[in-house]
Amino acid sequence: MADIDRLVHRPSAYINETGVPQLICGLLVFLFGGSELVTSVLPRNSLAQQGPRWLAVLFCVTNIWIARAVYRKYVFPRGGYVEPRQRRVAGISVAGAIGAAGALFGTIFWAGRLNLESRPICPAFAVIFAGISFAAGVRERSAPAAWFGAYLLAIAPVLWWIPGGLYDRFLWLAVAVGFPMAGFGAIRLLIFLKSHPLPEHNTHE
Amino acid sequence: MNDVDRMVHEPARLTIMALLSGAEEADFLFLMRETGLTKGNLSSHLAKLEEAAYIAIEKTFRGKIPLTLVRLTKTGRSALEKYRKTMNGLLRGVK
Repeated sequence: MADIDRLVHRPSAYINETGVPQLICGLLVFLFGGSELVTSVLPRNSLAQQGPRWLAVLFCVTNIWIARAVYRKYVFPRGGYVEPRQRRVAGISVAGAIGAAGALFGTIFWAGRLNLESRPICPAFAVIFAGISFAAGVRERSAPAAWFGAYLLAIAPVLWWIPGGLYDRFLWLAVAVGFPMAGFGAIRLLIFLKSHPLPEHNTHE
Repeated sequence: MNDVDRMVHEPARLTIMALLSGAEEADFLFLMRETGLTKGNLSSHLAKLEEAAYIAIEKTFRGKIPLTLVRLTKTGRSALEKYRKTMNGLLRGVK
Protein backbone atom coordinates (compact mmCIF):
# COMPACT_ATOMS: atom_id res chain seq x y z
CA MET A 1 0.00 0.00 0.00
CA ALA A 2 1.37 3.41 -0.97
CA ASP A 3 1.72 6.07 1.70
CA ILE A 4 -1.38 8.14 2.38
CA ASP A 5 0.20 11.55 1.72
CA ARG A 6 1.29 10.49 -1.76
CA LEU A 7 -2.22 9.21 -2.50
CA VAL A 8 -3.83 12.43 -1.27
CA HIS A 9 -1.64 14.44 -3.69
CA ARG A 10 -2.10 11.94 -6.50
CA PRO A 11 -5.10 13.65 -8.25
CA SER A 12 -3.18 16.92 -8.78
CA ALA A 13 0.02 15.00 -9.65
CA TYR A 14 -1.98 13.05 -12.26
CA ILE A 15 -3.21 16.26 -13.91
CA ASN A 16 0.39 17.57 -13.98
CA GLU A 17 1.66 14.29 -15.45
CA THR A 18 -0.64 14.68 -18.44
CA GLY A 19 1.45 17.70 -19.53
CA VAL A 20 -1.66 19.71 -20.51
CA PRO A 21 -1.20 22.52 -17.92
CA GLN A 22 2.43 23.10 -19.01
CA LEU A 23 1.54 22.88 -22.71
CA ILE A 24 -1.30 25.42 -22.51
CA CYS A 25 0.50 27.82 -20.15
CA GLY A 26 3.74 27.59 -22.19
CA LEU A 27 1.91 28.21 -25.49
CA LEU A 28 0.12 31.20 -23.98
CA VAL A 29 3.37 32.84 -22.84
CA PHE A 30 5.27 31.87 -26.01
CA LEU A 31 2.56 33.15 -28.37
CA PHE A 32 2.35 36.43 -26.46
CA GLY A 33 6.12 37.11 -26.73
CA GLY A 34 6.63 35.47 -30.12
CA SER A 35 3.73 37.18 -31.87
CA GLU A 36 4.93 40.64 -30.78
CA LEU A 37 8.51 39.89 -31.91
CA VAL A 38 7.34 38.57 -35.30
CA THR A 39 4.98 41.53 -35.73
CA SER A 40 7.88 43.96 -35.29
CA VAL A 41 9.82 42.49 -38.27
CA LEU A 42 6.89 42.08 -40.70
CA PRO A 43 5.89 44.83 -43.16
CA ARG A 44 3.95 47.57 -41.37
CA ASN A 45 0.18 47.88 -41.71
CA SER A 46 -0.08 44.61 -43.62
CA LEU A 47 -2.55 41.83 -42.89
CA ALA A 48 0.41 39.48 -42.31
CA GLN A 49 1.70 41.78 -39.60
CA GLN A 50 -1.54 41.54 -37.63
CA GLY A 51 -1.94 37.78 -38.10
CA PRO A 52 0.41 36.57 -35.33
CA ARG A 53 -1.02 39.11 -32.88
CA TRP A 54 -4.58 37.96 -33.54
CA LEU A 55 -3.48 34.33 -33.22
CA ALA A 56 -2.13 35.13 -29.75
CA VAL A 57 -5.33 36.96 -28.79
CA LEU A 58 -7.46 34.08 -30.10
CA PHE A 59 -5.45 31.56 -28.08
CA CYS A 60 -5.66 33.79 -25.00
CA VAL A 61 -9.47 33.80 -25.26
CA THR A 62 -9.90 30.11 -26.09
CA ASN A 63 -7.11 28.42 -24.07
CA ILE A 64 -9.38 27.19 -21.25
CA TRP A 65 -11.82 25.73 -23.79
CA ILE A 66 -8.93 24.08 -25.69
CA ALA A 67 -7.51 22.59 -22.47
CA ARG A 68 -10.95 21.19 -21.55
CA ALA A 69 -11.35 19.70 -25.03
CA VAL A 70 -7.92 18.00 -24.82
CA TYR A 71 -8.78 16.55 -21.41
CA ARG A 72 -12.20 15.34 -22.54
CA LYS A 73 -11.10 13.88 -25.88
CA TYR A 74 -7.64 12.45 -25.13
CA VAL A 75 -6.79 12.38 -21.41
CA PHE A 76 -9.86 11.32 -19.44
CA PRO A 77 -10.92 8.42 -21.73
CA ARG A 78 -7.44 6.93 -21.20
CA GLY A 79 -6.44 7.63 -17.61
CA GLY A 80 -9.79 8.49 -16.07
CA TYR A 81 -11.39 11.70 -14.94
CA VAL A 82 -10.49 13.46 -11.71
CA GLU A 83 -11.10 16.98 -10.42
CA PRO A 84 -8.32 17.77 -7.90
CA ARG A 85 -9.29 19.59 -4.70
CA GLN A 86 -7.99 23.14 -4.49
CA ARG A 87 -5.12 23.15 -2.02
CA ARG A 88 -3.86 26.14 -0.07
CA VAL A 89 -0.24 25.54 -1.15
CA ALA A 90 -1.22 25.39 -4.84
CA GLY A 91 -3.22 28.59 -4.38
CA ILE A 92 -0.20 30.33 -2.85
CA SER A 93 2.05 29.20 -5.76
CA VAL A 94 -0.41 30.50 -8.36
CA ALA A 95 -0.84 33.77 -6.45
CA GLY A 96 2.98 34.10 -6.25
CA ALA A 97 3.39 33.57 -10.00
CA ILE A 98 0.57 36.01 -10.83
CA GLY A 99 2.06 38.53 -8.37
CA ALA A 100 5.52 38.24 -9.97
CA ALA A 101 4.04 38.64 -13.47
CA GLY A 102 2.03 41.66 -12.26
CA ALA A 103 5.19 43.17 -10.76
CA LEU A 104 6.95 42.63 -14.12
CA PHE A 105 4.21 44.48 -16.03
CA GLY A 106 4.18 47.24 -13.40
CA THR A 107 7.96 47.63 -13.61
CA ILE A 108 7.85 47.89 -17.42
CA PHE A 109 5.19 50.59 -17.13
CA TRP A 110 6.99 52.63 -14.44
CA ALA A 111 10.52 52.11 -15.80
CA GLY A 112 9.53 54.01 -18.97
CA ARG A 113 7.94 56.83 -16.99
CA LEU A 114 10.75 57.18 -14.47
CA ASN A 115 13.58 56.69 -17.03
CA LEU A 116 15.05 53.83 -15.00
CA GLU A 117 18.05 51.86 -16.29
CA SER A 118 16.19 49.09 -18.11
CA ARG A 119 18.98 46.60 -18.83
CA PRO A 120 19.01 44.75 -15.47
CA ILE A 121 15.21 44.54 -15.08
CA CYS A 122 14.47 41.47 -17.23
CA PRO A 123 17.49 39.49 -15.97
CA ALA A 124 16.37 40.33 -12.41
CA PHE A 125 12.89 38.97 -13.13
CA ALA A 126 14.41 35.86 -14.73
CA VAL A 127 16.27 35.31 -11.44
CA ILE A 128 13.04 35.86 -9.44
CA PHE A 129 11.12 33.38 -11.65
CA ALA A 130 14.06 30.96 -11.32
CA GLY A 131 13.77 31.20 -7.53
CA ILE A 132 9.99 30.56 -7.62
CA SER A 133 10.41 27.58 -9.97
CA PHE A 134 13.30 26.13 -7.97
CA ALA A 135 11.43 26.52 -4.64
CA ALA A 136 8.33 24.88 -6.16
CA GLY A 137 10.52 22.06 -7.50
CA VAL A 138 12.06 21.41 -4.09
CA ARG A 139 8.73 21.64 -2.22
CA GLU A 140 6.80 19.45 -4.68
CA ARG A 141 9.81 17.15 -5.21
CA SER A 142 9.58 17.89 -8.93
CA ALA A 143 12.91 17.59 -10.77
CA PRO A 144 11.59 19.27 -14.00
CA ALA A 145 10.51 22.39 -12.03
CA ALA A 146 13.92 22.58 -10.32
CA TRP A 147 15.70 22.16 -13.70
CA PHE A 148 13.48 24.85 -15.19
CA GLY A 149 14.62 27.15 -12.36
CA ALA A 150 18.25 26.39 -13.24
CA TYR A 151 17.52 27.09 -16.92
CA LEU A 152 15.97 30.49 -16.08
CA LEU A 153 19.03 31.33 -14.01
CA ALA A 154 21.25 30.44 -16.99
CA ILE A 155 19.33 32.66 -19.45
CA ALA A 156 19.35 35.71 -17.13
CA PRO A 157 22.79 36.95 -18.38
CA VAL A 158 21.71 36.38 -22.01
CA LEU A 159 18.74 38.72 -21.49
CA TRP A 160 21.18 41.39 -20.31
CA TRP A 161 22.94 41.41 -23.72
CA ILE A 162 19.85 41.36 -25.93
CA PRO A 163 19.77 44.61 -27.96
CA GLY A 164 16.72 46.89 -27.89
CA GLY A 165 14.63 48.31 -25.09
CA LEU A 166 13.04 46.85 -22.00
CA TYR A 167 9.92 45.71 -23.88
CA ASP A 168 12.02 43.74 -26.42
CA ARG A 169 13.89 41.99 -23.62
CA PHE A 170 10.60 41.26 -21.90
CA LEU A 171 9.27 39.66 -25.11
CA TRP A 172 12.41 37.53 -25.40
CA LEU A 173 11.97 36.48 -21.78
CA ALA A 174 8.39 35.38 -22.62
CA VAL A 175 9.68 33.35 -25.59
CA ALA A 176 12.49 31.83 -23.51
CA VAL A 177 10.03 30.83 -20.78
CA GLY A 178 7.09 29.75 -22.97
CA PHE A 179 8.87 27.66 -25.61
CA PRO A 180 10.56 25.10 -23.33
CA MET A 181 7.50 24.96 -21.08
CA ALA A 182 5.20 24.17 -24.03
CA GLY A 183 7.75 21.68 -25.43
CA PHE A 184 8.01 19.94 -22.08
CA GLY A 185 4.20 19.80 -21.82
CA ALA A 186 3.88 18.37 -25.34
CA ILE A 187 6.48 15.65 -24.64
CA ARG A 188 4.73 14.79 -21.35
CA LEU A 189 1.36 14.58 -23.12
CA LEU A 190 2.77 12.28 -25.81
CA ILE A 191 4.33 10.03 -23.16
CA PHE A 192 1.01 9.98 -21.29
CA LEU A 193 -0.96 9.05 -24.41
CA LYS A 194 1.51 6.31 -25.28
CA SER A 195 1.52 4.83 -21.79
CA HIS A 196 -2.27 5.03 -21.39
CA PRO A 197 -3.95 3.23 -24.30
CA LEU A 198 -7.72 3.48 -24.61
CA PRO A 199 -9.42 0.74 -22.55
CA GLU A 200 -10.86 -1.96 -24.80
CA HIS A 201 -14.09 -2.44 -22.87
CA ASN A 202 -16.41 -0.20 -20.94
CA THR A 203 -14.66 0.24 -17.60
CA HIS A 204 -17.67 1.66 -15.83
CA GLU A 205 -20.03 -0.17 -13.63
CA MET B 1 -7.13 -1.22 18.55
CA ASN B 2 -10.90 -1.19 19.04
CA ASP B 3 -10.97 2.49 18.05
CA VAL B 4 -9.72 1.67 14.55
CA ASP B 5 -12.45 2.04 11.91
CA ARG B 6 -12.41 -1.34 10.11
CA MET B 7 -14.22 0.15 7.13
CA VAL B 8 -11.28 2.50 6.50
CA HIS B 9 -8.54 0.16 7.76
CA GLU B 10 -8.87 -2.31 4.88
CA PRO B 11 -5.93 -1.44 2.49
CA ALA B 12 -7.97 -1.19 -0.73
CA ARG B 13 -10.64 1.02 0.87
CA LEU B 14 -7.99 3.17 2.56
CA THR B 15 -6.34 3.68 -0.84
CA ILE B 16 -9.68 4.66 -2.41
CA MET B 17 -10.51 7.09 0.40
CA ALA B 18 -7.03 8.65 0.39
CA LEU B 19 -7.25 9.18 -3.38
CA LEU B 20 -10.71 10.72 -3.09
CA SER B 21 -9.65 13.01 -0.24
CA GLY B 22 -7.38 14.86 -2.70
CA ALA B 23 -10.16 15.19 -5.26
CA GLU B 24 -13.51 16.92 -5.61
CA GLU B 25 -14.66 13.89 -7.61
CA ALA B 26 -13.19 11.09 -9.68
CA ASP B 27 -14.55 8.53 -12.08
CA PHE B 28 -14.44 4.74 -11.94
CA LEU B 29 -11.62 4.47 -14.52
CA PHE B 30 -9.33 6.81 -12.57
CA LEU B 31 -9.86 4.85 -9.36
CA MET B 32 -9.35 1.53 -11.13
CA ARG B 33 -6.06 2.66 -12.72
CA GLU B 34 -4.71 4.28 -9.58
CA THR B 35 -5.66 1.53 -7.13
CA GLY B 36 -4.75 -1.35 -9.45
CA LEU B 37 -7.95 -3.15 -8.41
CA THR B 38 -10.08 -5.17 -10.80
CA LYS B 39 -13.47 -3.86 -11.90
CA GLY B 40 -15.37 -6.29 -9.66
CA ASN B 41 -13.13 -5.73 -6.66
CA LEU B 42 -13.36 -1.95 -6.95
CA SER B 43 -17.16 -2.12 -7.33
CA SER B 44 -17.47 -4.22 -4.20
CA HIS B 45 -15.32 -1.84 -2.12
CA LEU B 46 -17.18 1.21 -3.47
CA ALA B 47 -20.51 -0.41 -2.56
CA LYS B 48 -19.32 -0.99 1.02
CA LEU B 49 -18.05 2.59 1.33
CA GLU B 50 -21.31 3.91 -0.08
CA GLU B 51 -23.28 1.80 2.38
CA ALA B 52 -21.29 3.40 5.21
CA ALA B 53 -22.10 6.83 3.69
CA TYR B 54 -18.37 7.53 3.31
CA ILE B 55 -18.66 8.12 -0.42
CA ALA B 56 -21.40 9.26 -2.80
CA ILE B 57 -21.77 7.63 -6.21
CA GLU B 58 -23.46 9.30 -9.13
CA LYS B 59 -24.18 7.33 -12.29
CA THR B 60 -24.49 9.52 -15.35
CA PHE B 61 -23.58 9.67 -19.05
CA ARG B 62 -20.97 11.66 -20.96
CA GLY B 63 -22.46 11.59 -24.43
CA LYS B 64 -23.30 7.92 -24.93
CA ILE B 65 -20.62 6.69 -22.53
CA PRO B 66 -21.72 5.71 -19.02
CA LEU B 67 -19.85 7.60 -16.33
CA THR B 68 -19.62 6.66 -12.65
CA LEU B 69 -18.59 9.63 -10.53
CA VAL B 70 -17.41 9.09 -6.97
CA ARG B 71 -16.75 11.64 -4.25
CA LEU B 72 -15.91 11.53 -0.57
CA THR B 73 -18.74 12.71 1.70
CA LYS B 74 -18.26 14.88 4.80
CA THR B 75 -18.74 11.76 6.92
CA GLY B 76 -16.08 9.96 4.89
CA ARG B 77 -13.64 12.84 5.16
CA SER B 78 -13.98 13.04 8.94
CA ALA B 79 -13.76 9.22 9.20
CA LEU B 80 -10.47 9.29 7.29
CA GLU B 81 -9.16 12.13 9.46
CA LYS B 82 -10.18 10.27 12.63
CA TYR B 83 -8.52 7.09 11.31
CA ARG B 84 -5.28 9.00 10.67
CA LYS B 85 -5.26 10.42 14.19
CA THR B 86 -6.04 7.04 15.73
CA MET B 87 -3.26 5.31 13.79
CA ASN B 88 -0.77 8.08 14.57
CA GLY B 89 -1.67 7.74 18.25
CA LEU B 90 -1.30 3.95 18.17
CA LEU B 91 2.01 4.06 16.31
CA ARG B 92 3.50 6.79 18.50
CA GLY B 93 6.28 5.28 20.52
CA VAL B 94 6.59 2.26 18.23
CA LYS B 95 9.99 2.12 16.54
